Amino acid sequence: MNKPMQYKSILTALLAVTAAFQFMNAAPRAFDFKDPKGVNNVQFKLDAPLESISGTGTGISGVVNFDPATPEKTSGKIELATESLTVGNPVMAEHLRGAHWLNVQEFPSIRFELDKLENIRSEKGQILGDAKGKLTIKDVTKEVKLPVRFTYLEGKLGDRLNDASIKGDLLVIRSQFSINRSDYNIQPGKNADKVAEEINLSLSIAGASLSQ
Amino acid sequence: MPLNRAHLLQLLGLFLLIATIGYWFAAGAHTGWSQTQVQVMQYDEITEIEYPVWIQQFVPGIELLSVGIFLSIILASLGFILSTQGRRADSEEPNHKHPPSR
Repeated sequence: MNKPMQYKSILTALLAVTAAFQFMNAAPRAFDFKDPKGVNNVQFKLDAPLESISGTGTGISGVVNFDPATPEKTSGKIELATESLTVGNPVMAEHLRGAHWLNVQEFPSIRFELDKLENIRSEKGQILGDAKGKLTIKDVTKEVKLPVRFTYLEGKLGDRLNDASIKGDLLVIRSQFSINRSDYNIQPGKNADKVAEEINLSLSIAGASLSQ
Repeated sequence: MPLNRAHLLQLLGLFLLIATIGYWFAAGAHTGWSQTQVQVMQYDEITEIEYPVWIQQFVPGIELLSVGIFLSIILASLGFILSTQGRRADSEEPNHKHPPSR
């Protein structure tokens, strides 16, 4: 092999090693879930024998660090402003946010802090897993494991904001799970005929990350 | 004319009953409390997220249905009482209304 060919081979090998090293050390990117379009939402439904209550919460914020190549390194925190929770009946909404139920003055947010993403698998271009972390509602924090579905939308931020000059990616997180209200000190054992013990929750949120 | 007033009240009660139940059914037969806003789902094409939007719309609940039925029963009962009184008054004073013919 002549000398220029040798140099070329060495250079190619060095570049490959550098690229591999960078890939291995690539830090997950931060996705901001504060949504200017007001699309991010949590829906809740309670089915009691005498009454069915459904409502939504839209005051979502938080940051999730995610890399589609290394989803096991995912970390982050999502918060929901309790003031944003509402139902169709204004009196009921007032009660929901009042001191006896969610007490939004004293507890302004519901938080989920991700410790670890487990049971990771891929399905139809989406990443599925179980998000193990701490869920805090009112003054109670509990370890929970929530089924989550990540959809990584590369280069779609500009499309979403109707501005092609903005370069960045989107991360959509979906989850459906249920909790018991008495576990979180929400009027435990009271009004069970009208307000169900089990709260079914459905989360659909999108976060944005600008390209650097 | 107490008898006419009685019939009017009974008819009003019946009308209120039909109107209340009809309105409640037509508005979705909502079994919870009345609502002043309803949730309509919309779709974000980029993220494929379905998200709720609240619109101002009155949905009658079970309490409105109960009040309507209660009022219609009250009206019908008043009509029934008036018609009974009217009939009793007629039977107690036969000479004034139908003087004996000679």
